[in-house]
Amino acid sequence: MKKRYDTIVLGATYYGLGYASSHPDCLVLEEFQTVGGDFHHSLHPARMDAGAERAADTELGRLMRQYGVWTETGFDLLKVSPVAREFAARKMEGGMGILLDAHVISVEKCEADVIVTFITNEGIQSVKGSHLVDATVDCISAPSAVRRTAKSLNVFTVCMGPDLEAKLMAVCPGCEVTDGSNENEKLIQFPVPVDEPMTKAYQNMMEIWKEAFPGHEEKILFVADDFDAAYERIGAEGTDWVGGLASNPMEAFLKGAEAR
Amino acid sequence: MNYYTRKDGAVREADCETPAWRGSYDVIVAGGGSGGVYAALAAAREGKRVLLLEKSRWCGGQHVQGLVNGYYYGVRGGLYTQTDKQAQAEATDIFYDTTSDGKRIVIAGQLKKSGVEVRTLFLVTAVYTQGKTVCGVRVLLHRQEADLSCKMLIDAASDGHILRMLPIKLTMGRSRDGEPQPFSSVRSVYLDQMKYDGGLSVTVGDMGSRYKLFHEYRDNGYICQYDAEALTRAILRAHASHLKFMGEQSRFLFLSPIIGLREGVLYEGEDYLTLDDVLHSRVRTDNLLLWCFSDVDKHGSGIAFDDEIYQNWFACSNMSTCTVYIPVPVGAVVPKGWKGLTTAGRCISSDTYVNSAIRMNTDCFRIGEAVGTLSALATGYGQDPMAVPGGLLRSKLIGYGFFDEPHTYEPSFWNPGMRPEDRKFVSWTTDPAELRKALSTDCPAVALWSCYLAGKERLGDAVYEMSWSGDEMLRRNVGIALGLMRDERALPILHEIIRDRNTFYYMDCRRSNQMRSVIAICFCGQMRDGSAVDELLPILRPEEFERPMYHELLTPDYKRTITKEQNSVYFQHMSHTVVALTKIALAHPERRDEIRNALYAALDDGAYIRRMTDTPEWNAFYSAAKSCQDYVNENLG
Repeated sequence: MKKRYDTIVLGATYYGLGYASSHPDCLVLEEFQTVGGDFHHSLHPARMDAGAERAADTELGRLMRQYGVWTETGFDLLKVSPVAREFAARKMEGGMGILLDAHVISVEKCEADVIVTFITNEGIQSVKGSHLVDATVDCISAPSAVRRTAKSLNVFTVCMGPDLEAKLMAVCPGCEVTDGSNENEKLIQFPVPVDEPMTKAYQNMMEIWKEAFPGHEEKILFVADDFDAAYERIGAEGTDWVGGLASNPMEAFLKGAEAR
Repeated sequence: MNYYTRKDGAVREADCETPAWRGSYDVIVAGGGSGGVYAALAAAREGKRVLLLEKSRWCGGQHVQGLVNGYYYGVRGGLYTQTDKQAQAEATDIFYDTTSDGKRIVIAGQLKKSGVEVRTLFLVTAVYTQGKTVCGVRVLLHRQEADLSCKMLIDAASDGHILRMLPIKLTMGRSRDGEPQPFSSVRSVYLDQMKYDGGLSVTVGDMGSRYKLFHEYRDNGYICQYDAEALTRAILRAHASHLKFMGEQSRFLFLSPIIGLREGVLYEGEDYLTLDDVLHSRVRTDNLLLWCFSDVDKHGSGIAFDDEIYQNWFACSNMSTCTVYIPVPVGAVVPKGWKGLTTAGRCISSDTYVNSAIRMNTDCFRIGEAVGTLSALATGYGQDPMAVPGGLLRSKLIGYGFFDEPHTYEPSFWNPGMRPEDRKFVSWTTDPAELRKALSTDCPAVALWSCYLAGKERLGDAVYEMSWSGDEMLRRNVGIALGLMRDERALPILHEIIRDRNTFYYMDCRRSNQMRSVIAICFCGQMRDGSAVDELLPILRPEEFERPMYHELLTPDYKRTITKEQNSVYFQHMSHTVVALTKIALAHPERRDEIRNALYAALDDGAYIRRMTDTPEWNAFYSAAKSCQDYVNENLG
């Protein structure tokens, strides 16, 4: 790893990967051991639109087509995560700086430079950059500059019977149910008050599920690791934050790639 | 006061004033994984004020987020059984996978109920000490740092996150080259039972009558996780490698968010456990923390490059799946000379071989619980865990039912999933009639290890006599037994086994049975047998690979098949030959040049690697293959 890059990118989100893949001399710092966490940690549903087609000609877009995660019929949010890792691995071999499991301690401005101090398994290190891009969902470089506006806890399952959505809505009218890519797959979003902690939200979700399916006829395959949350800017700080969630990974990637 | 951190690749120390503490705790647990969760619960059970810090979003570690859900051996009993019961009661009706999604919420509830203060997305960035007594930490808190005091700090971060900030002697992996165990990555999949034709790793459960949920593990390679770039590269490649299996019969769901590291740094504690001491029953038990239980489950195929004690147990005696009880003294969780500091989870003071045996889920939970109890008690003994009376700790743990499972401490052969009463206990023997009977079979493991323990002086003559019986199986196994005893009367028999390429597989184990020819090669090296050179040199030549034995499936075995990933028959013969010849060259200067030249001729162009494995350079099989060249370079220049 070098001591200085042109741009330090916080967050290996799709925006962050898109930005780093089309701007020279970037270092991407990611807190977790994953990439694309903006969609994969939260199970944020991907809604494809016409704009995403422009991404078909990008390297990531071609990979997604190659592995069948992006087809004419839609986008497989689950299968895209190893593809994103394959993309990141290739970019790393090609010279892009990426560090996973890197936790930011501080972001400081020093004259024209920004200095990011972070900690990994290796220990504490600092790196300088001419620019900072905060591609994280929650603006880690200036948390007070953003406010959470909506939140849900999302789960994924394969439904065994025809009434999953109706039974859930009867108990939790605010739930949204989206079809997955395969037969009978469902992605369910349980709305959560913006300040509610995860353990309470998780327990509430379990109570709703128990009430909706007292005969245990439906069960959950897995729960998202993190909330699916939207944020808006409220302060003058955090100008390096790129802001907001995109509709789908490719839109986010393109926004990053085309950003100045 | 001293301030320690790890910065720019080294431990940094500075004198400092006492900081303005943002909080004060009796016990801080760094790392909310398999050991840390139960360390925190146990310390809180003793009425202590406990803070648990975890860098990810959830506590639970490899067992929960890591999808390593099963219990492979380990001693049963302790706090973790309450987690299991509660998850079964509360989560079975809601989740298909109670061990991941179910347990993490149960663990969160247990921690809250017990009064443990839990902070996720927190990391320790520095440690405060008074001399060699830990008294506090600096933590990363919402991207700001804060200082917290404590009487006891438990490093439960499995990779020795705290230890690496302090001037503590650390090692990693095997003694020769520091290579740890390979790491793994796990994907979760489900599939239609009508289409399943077997071959996936771990069944999690049924999804109705039509589907089944699985976790599929892949060993990916060796990594030093303390190199951030290398770790990143390894994680990305490992996760991407699952792409090969997409589009097959299973439906991909997600990858485990944490990589499956099996080993991190090991350290010098007040007691240091070695495999040699464990197998020779030399470990002190007067100040016992707990017992662990497993086979020596060291992943990786490069046995030729391992320490000889491991080779003798795992390969040469064919004891690979024999389970043993390992006594862990209190001193094995206390860094030497330190107070206010203990370790929990798989990071204990041991060699890599003992570490590969104690890292199982239940043993990590129990190490955590025992260390949490110990650390809580130590707050009343001057922060010195070594000063806690052993009887006090033991009586506490007995009172909690920690030792309720009855043990008989003999080693045994036992398949996971079998009933405990079906375990086949073993006891060593020196009776020549019993030895003869066992050495006449394809299951000579117990007899072989008995010979090893007894030694040449006691049994050499009696065993040698058996070689004249006319029974070929007996004769050849006598050669192996004499080899273990370092009795030179083994050598003619070993040469014969090698010359004949006698790839006979022993059948003691449920997996990882060994080929006799490979064992014979290994012994010629261990005994620095100059007269074996002419038998060994032909194995190096390219035409050796044309022998049918390297292309036929000799015996289906979990780890000894010939696949594109590894031709394990060729790999074992070649790697052991390289090591044996190198050892002989070092002991016989008169043949050094001849051997060295032959080795370089065989290895220099790298063609031998492609005979061993078809995998890319970052794969564990490739690394193992390349170890041949590395070994020769290190030893013969």
